Amino acid sequence: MMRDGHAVVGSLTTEEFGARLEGGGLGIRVGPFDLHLRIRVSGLAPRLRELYCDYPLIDDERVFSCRVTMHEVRSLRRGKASMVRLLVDGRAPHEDMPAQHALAVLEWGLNLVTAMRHQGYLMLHSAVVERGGRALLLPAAPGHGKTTLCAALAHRGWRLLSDEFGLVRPGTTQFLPVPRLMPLKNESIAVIRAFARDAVIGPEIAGTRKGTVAHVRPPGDCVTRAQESARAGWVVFPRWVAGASLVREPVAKAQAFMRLATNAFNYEVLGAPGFETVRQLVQETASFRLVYSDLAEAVDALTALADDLAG
Amino acid sequence: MPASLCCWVQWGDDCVVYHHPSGKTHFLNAGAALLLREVLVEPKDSLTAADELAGAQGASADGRFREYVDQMLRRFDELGLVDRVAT
Repeated sequence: MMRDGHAVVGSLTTEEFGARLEGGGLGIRVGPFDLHLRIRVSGLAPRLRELYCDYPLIDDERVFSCRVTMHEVRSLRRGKASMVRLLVDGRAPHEDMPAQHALAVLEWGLNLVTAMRHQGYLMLHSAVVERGGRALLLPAAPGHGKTTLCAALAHRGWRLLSDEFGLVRPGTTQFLPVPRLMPLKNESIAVIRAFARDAVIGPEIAGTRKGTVAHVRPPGDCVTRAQESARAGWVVFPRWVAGASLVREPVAKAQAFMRLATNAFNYEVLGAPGFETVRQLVQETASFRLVYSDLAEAVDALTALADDLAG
Repeated sequence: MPASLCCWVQWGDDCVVYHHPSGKTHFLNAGAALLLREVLVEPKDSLTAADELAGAQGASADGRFREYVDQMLRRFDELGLVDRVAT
């Protein structure tokens, strides 16, 4: 199986994938980023192959966005849990973590690299999905249900651009896809299992610093179209509140500006180009806040918003 | 401090200002935005600024309003948006 002239991860057998991942490593393209992964952690390769099966493989003859390695660290103390060490370009960004959390550690590490390295983009802390050619931004603080809503939309006809990074080149409102695994936490795992029975969800990883985590594989179409940007159409600030009735109401533009800017990874790093980009973004889009408790109702409300514009 | 050191965007009564030297962004209401614009165009003391701001809004400045403007200018000074000069 080929994608843009590249074989995809799923075209390798589990044995081939494991041998390359644990041997010299392999290159994977994720949106605008070329990642080189070399991972030697017992039992992880088959899971990664399943979750990354749609991603293009790229050859080693290039400059990679980063080289990520992860390996097990043996403890000399009896009874101490096995740990893994993540290295980004040879340096450890944090302390060793439990080996049973390896998949989550890798995904957090890739998030960290994205947030720290790619300052040429304005990076909003926002999920981004697309429908009818327009991007819906879902900026939210942790715990507001951003990833759950994003995963639900990605399984109801919206194209996933990212569940975490609203990536836009300064001076434009074209959002770039970075379709990554979507990490569900705790109760959200069962919610998405029930909501999207076709969703491919990785193993439940219990006891992490964020509780139990499980990763949703992006639908294949999202990865296939990872080079197609989408112009911003709407900004919706979601908030899941237990038992709440659905509320969708407009947010004043200046308020939307401040909420987007203060919730960005690097707004202040970019300076004036960041200001101008957020100004343009807010000017060109309609902003709302969405309070919900029923996921299906929220998805329907957002789909109606998009279809109203299309109609 | 020259007005060119700020970028402005105004939506209705709300204003967002980006201050180049500090890299900070500020949310201002219409009155605060007008005051900041005025003192950036031409340095003036607190009383004059209050009188002109009240006049621009079709009102006259009483003691409470002048105190409000004085506090606002002190806040602008703390944020580095204006420079206080000795008179």
